[in-house]
Amino acid sequence: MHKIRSSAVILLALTIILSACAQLFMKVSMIQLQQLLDGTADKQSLLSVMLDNRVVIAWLFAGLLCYALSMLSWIFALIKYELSFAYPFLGVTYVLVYLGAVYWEQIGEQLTLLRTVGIVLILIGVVFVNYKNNNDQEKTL
Amino acid sequence: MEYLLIALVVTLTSIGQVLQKLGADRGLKDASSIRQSVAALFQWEIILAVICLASAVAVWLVVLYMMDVSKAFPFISLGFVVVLLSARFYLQETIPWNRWLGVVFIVAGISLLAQT
Repeated sequence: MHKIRSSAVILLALTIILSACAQLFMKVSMIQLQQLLDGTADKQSLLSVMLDNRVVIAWLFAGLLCYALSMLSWIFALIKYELSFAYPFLGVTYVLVYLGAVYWEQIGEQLTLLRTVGIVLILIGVVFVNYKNNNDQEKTL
Repeated sequence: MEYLLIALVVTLTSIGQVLQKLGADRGLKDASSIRQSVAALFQWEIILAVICLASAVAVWLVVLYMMDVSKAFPFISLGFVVVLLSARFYLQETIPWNRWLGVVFIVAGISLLAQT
């Protein structure tokens, strides 16, 4: 019993980390692409452009892979947990994406009060939407 | 423009999830062997769901190209609002108060994010 529980926790944590990585990797890929198209990337030789191109594709691929794997681990996590219990934990992904976007130098987004409050409100909202109340039970069963 | 694309992503994702559910209900529920389950993956609902989800990712990349990821990503929670409203007004379901409250918080949070 304990073993099953802890593996479900790991699956849930894995889902959260993988979906955050998916967003951040895709964003890095798009930043690289932007630099390539803006001409801010080093375009001194054809080789360097192709290399940059490969960086775009590599991050994109990493992002999509994380996205696919997160869906897979989510499905397996749902075998152990009820959706209404498990879903609010996915809200942690918003926090991870926010922190990652701010502290990953290449992305370097702003940490602002307004954005932080907005994300906290959304987190509270996600918990309320998924909260299972008693009037709800006959509907969901 | 960005917000239109985000709305498109949310719509495509919601449609994809409903189709997945319909496909799972129709094909996978009565599948008794692995072979039947695999065959169930190729019914039209599931194929259409995969097309919806794949195009959602493609549009999402355009959004990420144009916007901060820390701003854009939380907008995905609008999916809850869309599903709840369609459950209420299209499927005529009764929605308990806590879900309405949750939607109010989500919409409030998103309106703050939109200011940044």
